[in-house]
Amino acid sequence: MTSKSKSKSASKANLVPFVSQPLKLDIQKRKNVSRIDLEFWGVDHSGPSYEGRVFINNPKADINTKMIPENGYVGSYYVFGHGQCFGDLGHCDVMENSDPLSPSHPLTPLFKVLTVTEMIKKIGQKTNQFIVTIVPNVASGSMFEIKDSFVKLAQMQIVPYD
Amino acid sequence: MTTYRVNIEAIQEDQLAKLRSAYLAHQQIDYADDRGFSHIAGHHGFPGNYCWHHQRDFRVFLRARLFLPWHRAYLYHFEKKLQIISGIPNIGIPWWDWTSELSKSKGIPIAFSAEKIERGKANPLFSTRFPLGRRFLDPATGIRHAETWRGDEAEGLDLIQRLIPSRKELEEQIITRTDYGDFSDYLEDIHDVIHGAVGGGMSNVPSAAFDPIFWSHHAMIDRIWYKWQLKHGYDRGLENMMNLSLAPSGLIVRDTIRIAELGYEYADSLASVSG
Repeated sequence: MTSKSKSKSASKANLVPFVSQPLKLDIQKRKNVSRIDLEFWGVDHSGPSYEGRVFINNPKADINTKMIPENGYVGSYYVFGHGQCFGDLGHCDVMENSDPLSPSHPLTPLFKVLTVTEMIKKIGQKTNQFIVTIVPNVASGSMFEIKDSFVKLAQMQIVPYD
Repeated sequence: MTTYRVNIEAIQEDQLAKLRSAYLAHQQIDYADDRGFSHIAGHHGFPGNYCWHHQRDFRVFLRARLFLPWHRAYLYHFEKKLQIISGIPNIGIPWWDWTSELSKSKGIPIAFSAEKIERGKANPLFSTRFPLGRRFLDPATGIRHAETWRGDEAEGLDLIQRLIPSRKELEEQIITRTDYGDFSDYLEDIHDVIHGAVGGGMSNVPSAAFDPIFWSHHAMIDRIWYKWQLKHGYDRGLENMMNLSLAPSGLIVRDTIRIAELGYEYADSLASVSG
């Protein structure tokens, strides 16, 4: 997955949203679906804490877009980030874990999920393609050098359940 | 005697004064003393990195959700040391009910948001100092620490109003969840929002536990788990994790199952006099 990334520092107001490739799902053919989850795997949390405002099929959504269904808003997830490292050099480096019984490193990427049943069903009546836009709203006072492309994740998927 | 953790919104004036006195005494202990506030706060993120959050790593065998038991052990350890250092044997960590109408209209309770208390003294529930790595040493002053800080109150209130459930939603949609993993993940998501809503150092994992409000935020999380246990069973979902370590508290998961055995209870408020 890629985001519309640039590498310069950015203020909170002009952070670039993450825009996914289209996810394809013929939801109108699935009559017995009772719940639909939108899953975010491998979410990076090495940066500041942020609210990820999630919009469907609204790739132009930004921090000023109203969070209403008409704009494709389906909810927000929240990341408790590590932000600035206050330790010495190397303190927060993710080390290779050679011991399978030990817990994972604290910077191991996160899993987040939103239940988006009604919105996906509604939008899915008109299309089988879903573009997911994540608009970051960074926690105030995080004292972190924010990069405008800091929303990073490994995979995103829509999972309907019967 | 049982330690009662009370609602910070309902705490009596004399209890609040005791609480401030206890936190101040605890915060004045040097970082090198492992009984002190800042040393224990350092277990969470910087420099200890012991805390468990969103454990979902498929590269390792252990996929246990230890978020709730780890933090219960952590608070227990902190509270015991708070009691010893302050000389107030039953002082308990108050809980901050961020689902309350007051928190949803005003945000952080005044006990934690007031920078000063009587006679202009600094409020030990608002801020304290935390140590930094050697690379932050100011050679001119020899200082290698900072004060904890908060984010913008209005932005925090907006997050609480939009993303934190009401008390009714908490009871009906969260505590009713029957699967431990589902419940734990959902509660942890709510927990994440509060860290961001307080903002500042609380919004960074490494510095979060140095903010005095951290302990009351997690007392609320622990209280919700306790309410869930009362409804669904004490050890539900933890059957295969009982012997896992909750370092550095010295406890294992089994030790954290029943809060009565840890010697504390959640109450709304408390009135007491000496006999």
